[in-house]
Amino acid sequence: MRALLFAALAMLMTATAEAACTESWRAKLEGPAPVGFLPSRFGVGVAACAHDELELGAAARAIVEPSDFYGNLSAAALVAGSLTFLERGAVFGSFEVLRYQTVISSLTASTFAPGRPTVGASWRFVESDAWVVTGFGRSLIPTDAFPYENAKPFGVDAGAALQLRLTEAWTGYGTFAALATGAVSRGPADLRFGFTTILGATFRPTHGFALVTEADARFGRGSALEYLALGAGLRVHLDRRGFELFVKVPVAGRERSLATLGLRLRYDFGVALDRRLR
Amino acid sequence: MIPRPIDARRWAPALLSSVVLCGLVLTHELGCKTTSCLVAADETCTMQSPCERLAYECASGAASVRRITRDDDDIPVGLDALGAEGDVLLENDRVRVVIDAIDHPHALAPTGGTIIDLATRAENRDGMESIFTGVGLLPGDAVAYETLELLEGEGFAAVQVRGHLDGDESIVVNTRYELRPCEPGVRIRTEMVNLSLDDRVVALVDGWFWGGRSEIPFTPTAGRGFDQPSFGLTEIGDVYESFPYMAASGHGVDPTAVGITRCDAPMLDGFQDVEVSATGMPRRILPPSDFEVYERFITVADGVAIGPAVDQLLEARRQLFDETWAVVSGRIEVQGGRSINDNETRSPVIVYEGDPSTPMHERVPVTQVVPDADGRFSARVRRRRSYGYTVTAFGRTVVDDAIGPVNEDRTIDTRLIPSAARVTLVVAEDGAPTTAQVFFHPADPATRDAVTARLFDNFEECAPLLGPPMGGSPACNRVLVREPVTLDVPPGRYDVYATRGPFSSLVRREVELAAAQEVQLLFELASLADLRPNGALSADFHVHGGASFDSSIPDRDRVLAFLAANVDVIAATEHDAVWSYEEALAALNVGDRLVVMPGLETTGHILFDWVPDSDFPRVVGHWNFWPMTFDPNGPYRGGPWDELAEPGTLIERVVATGFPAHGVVQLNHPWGAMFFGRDTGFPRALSLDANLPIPASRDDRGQSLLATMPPGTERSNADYDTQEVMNGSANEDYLGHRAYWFYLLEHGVVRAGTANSDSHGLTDSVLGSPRNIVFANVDTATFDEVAFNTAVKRGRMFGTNGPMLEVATLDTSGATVTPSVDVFEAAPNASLVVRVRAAPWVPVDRVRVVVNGEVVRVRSAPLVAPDPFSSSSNLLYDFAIPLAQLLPDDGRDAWIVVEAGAPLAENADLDCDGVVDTGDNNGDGRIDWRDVERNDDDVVDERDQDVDEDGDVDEDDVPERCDDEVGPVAEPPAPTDRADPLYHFRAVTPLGYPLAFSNPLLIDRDGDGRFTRGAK
Repeated sequence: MRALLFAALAMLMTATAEAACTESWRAKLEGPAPVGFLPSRFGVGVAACAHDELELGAAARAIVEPSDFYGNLSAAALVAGSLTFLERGAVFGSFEVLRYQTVISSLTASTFAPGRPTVGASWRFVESDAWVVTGFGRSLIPTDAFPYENAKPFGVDAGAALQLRLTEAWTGYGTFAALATGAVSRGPADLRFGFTTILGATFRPTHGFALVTEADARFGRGSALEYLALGAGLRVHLDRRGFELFVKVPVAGRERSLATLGLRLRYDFGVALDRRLR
Repeated sequence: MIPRPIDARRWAPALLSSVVLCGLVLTHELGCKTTSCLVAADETCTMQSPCERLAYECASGAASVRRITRDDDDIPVGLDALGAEGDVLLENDRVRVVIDAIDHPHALAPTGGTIIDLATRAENRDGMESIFTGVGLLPGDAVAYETLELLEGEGFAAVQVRGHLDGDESIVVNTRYELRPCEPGVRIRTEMVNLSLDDRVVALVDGWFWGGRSEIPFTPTAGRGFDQPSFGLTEIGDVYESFPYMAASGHGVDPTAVGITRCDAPMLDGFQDVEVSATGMPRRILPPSDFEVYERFITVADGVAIGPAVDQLLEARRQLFDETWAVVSGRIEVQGGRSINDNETRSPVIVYEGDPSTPMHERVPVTQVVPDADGRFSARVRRRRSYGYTVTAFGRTVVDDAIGPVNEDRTIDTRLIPSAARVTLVVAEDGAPTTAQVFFHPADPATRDAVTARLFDNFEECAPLLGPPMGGSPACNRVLVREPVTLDVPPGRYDVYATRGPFSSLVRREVELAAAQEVQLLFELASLADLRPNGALSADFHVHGGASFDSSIPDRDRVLAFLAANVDVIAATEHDAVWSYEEALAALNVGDRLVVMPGLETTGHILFDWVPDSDFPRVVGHWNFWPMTFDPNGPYRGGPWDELAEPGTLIERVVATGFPAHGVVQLNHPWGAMFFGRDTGFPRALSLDANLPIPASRDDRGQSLLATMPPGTERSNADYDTQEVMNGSANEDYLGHRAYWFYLLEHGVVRAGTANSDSHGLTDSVLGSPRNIVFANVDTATFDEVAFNTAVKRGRMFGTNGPMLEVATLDTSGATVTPSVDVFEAAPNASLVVRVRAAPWVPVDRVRVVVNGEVVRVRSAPLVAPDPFSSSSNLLYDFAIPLAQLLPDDGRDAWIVVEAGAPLAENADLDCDGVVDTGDNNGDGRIDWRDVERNDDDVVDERDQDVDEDGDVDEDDVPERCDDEVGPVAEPPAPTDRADPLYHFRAVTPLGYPLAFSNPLLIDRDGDGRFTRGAK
């Protein structure tokens, strides 16, 4: 353990002197994979270094349990974006424009309809040349959205996102957040509380390409360990446009999904793009 | 690395916004809460009253709720009444509802809290099995209630039950049943909340367990009415439909009609089948935290047909949805002026939306009524729609006419329907009146074409359809005759047979019946008393009546059928309930002629995981127990709850009810096929491989459960006494049952073989065919139950549907030995002596001698060729074969079984489980995969050879050897020539062929005093 701490300290000491969030091209290649096991972009990792962008995304999730006569397949097309303000702040949000879900049991039912929106805001509290800590809050907005008919689910999570420049090619990141979910309903609010921990790293071997790997765990929400999931992904960015693909697989906990997949097409509309890209 | 200062003024707005948002959310959540029991944590809440828009008025009325007590005699009665001590009676001035106690579950429900009896106050007859709540088809999709509360207040009485899905406690379900004064039905509200973290597919519905031989559900949608699509369990999604209401009625004697409409929406969703219907909410995904509320109104009315229930539903819908109704009335008259009886098959009227030019699949049947004896009928229909109506006679449409737009009450013109012949049946035996069963059969193709029909296109085909096939006499083409019976018969040429079973002659009358003709048919039978072995009684150990969920025959007709079959002893083995027939026996004063032992057939409904190598949950098949003690006010009338238990456990439960030591436990139809996804035969549920030995201990194979003890019990799954070898008049699974019996014998597990009709009414199997001839030296007048059942357990009997079999040999002391499960040492020079006698109408083509499972001798030359309609019995075979010529030289213990009757059709074992399963169904002279029926069209042809189901038959369409897809088994061909002796046998034994089998002779050849066989 001491050796690990020493190594981490050594890496911090030798980290590049460049400011952690000053280069938007880096920000686009670094940070967490925005895929998880809750609807829309809720409960997923938050980028410590926000920037201005619009994205079209897709997400899919599958539960296949033949022994229990149960299958649950969902796919969503979404729009998302973030907008920075006052240098340190950002607002971000997402909306599942169309969501398809089919649940297979002894009977089968499907929905194909708009899904749910999320909105959130972040603020870089602490920043150095090598690392940055950003606070954030986010909400899953209680709207009428299929397959819900009599309840409007909501969620709130808040916490901190961390990013750490380890080497020129390696960046570490983390998200630590408390989370609450429930429903606006004539029935039970079904309030549940949990805590999300995401730790990951990005490896950027060349200028416009990065590989992402992360461990994502959630505790609480009715079980000691909701899931421990391992994820991986790749990012490709050219100029203002980028393409990203992620997969995350639960390896422990009560989560029943086989995997969740995420796809992003990003467009950076920031007015102050990094000079190196010009 | 010095942290930069934080400017709180800049991030405060964002934080504040989040706080405000959270506050809004919680405020909204709290502000929307209403009184209900949707909040699971609230254990004291009272659910709100359902169907608030309903408002019935009457001069005086009251509603009350109470528990049924031990000696309560003021509860619903009738064929299907199940209310017992501890259950709840909810009643008002018009209806009575029984809700079973939490620990008295019935049918498919895992707990009580469901409706088991529903009757009008006027007639107090229950004709319905059960209505339970569920969300899907899997066992865990039914609701398991945990608490039951009685509620009474101003203007209502109610029962509130609370629980969850059986397979998921986090899906909370609460239901309130409520009666208000003056109302002809029960209001019901069910609330369900998903407190899990998973999405569920739910269809919150009422499951109506009909049982298969009683009600036909009716829905008013295009092309439907009674004509509901058939489907498999995996195809239910394809038949899920929306409809405004559903109604059903029994089709037997004195039926009631029930119906349902939603209160909170105009349309119900669900599917319909004569086994089970589902009515309720649409299927949907119920995500975490979401909930469903379902309110409905279930009515009950007296009277034949669904019309009385539909009338009530339309009034309820008027109050709920402002749908107005009007009355259409009319009169049906028979040509020539003859009266119409109220038999449902004589002239039922179906009113439909549309007119005669509307194609059948576009017509919307809306109601059905049966005219009274004067031919008058009336029915409510929704206003401002245009209608037509049909009248059927004997199942064939005879009127299809327009009514036109109905905006107010209207009377339609009297319509004439064709006259029928009126036939009076009289039966005597040896010159004295007797009880017999009479069969009508078309005698020419033209008559067959003209009279073949099914009851509203449901149930079996009848030619002619003289009455609902599942009800009392007349049923289908059969009539019970005790005193002269008069009935209407459609014109045509018929063979009319009267039979009293194998100890009597058979009489056939060939008649040409013309419209309006009146004719009396006298049948003079002769008893063939010499056929009845001395000291023997004939017995049927598997019989159902109206107390079974899948039978609608009234008790009186059931007892008349016992008499008509000329059986001496009956084990009344109702599904899941003990029954005695004591009232009917007393009313007919036949108690000294006939012995009815109350019994029970345990019938698994709820699938569960107990077979280790099965991909699917299963049930343990059916088991008979007799004699049981009939408890008129007890749950299951004295039986135990029989679900979720392996046979060993099941036997322990029955023993705990006071089952006597001389009681008989019987494995029923061991090789029976699945029915509605439920296993009917125990070894087949285990996927038995008869090529393998019987495991001595449990492992990861289903086969290891065959003869081992379930955990926590002291009885093995093989702790039974007898096994059905013949079941049902059709003998359809005889080869499978026989193969299993032989398999056990070959492994030294000896159980007595029985032959039973498994009759559920007058139409399915003929009671007493087959039956057991039991050698117990007792008679019916002074019946010694212990001696009789001891003889049964010892196998001192043979099974038959006609041939009378005598089998004997000698033991070392020179004494005669007859078949039983007792082992003996044969005399050194002993022979097997076989004699076969039979009534003249029972052809016995051959006798087979089976040694250690192999047919070693066949005799096929009867001594005489009798006249089928003569009045004397015949000795057909009489021979002896030295045992030395029959037994192998290995010196091992051996067993012998003798069979007599028709030749068995050739079949092969294509799935390699040691039991034949497929015949030469395509007639190409060989039995292979091309003989397998794969596309469910009941015809084996080239289309069945599309093994990979790609739409083409090609070289890829060759299944692997030992493929699981097999069958059907070939049966002996049906005779078509009316001169064929087998034709007459089959006329009174539908789908059957003559057959008798002996119990085994168990020969101890190694002198160890035991019978020992092992794997070959």
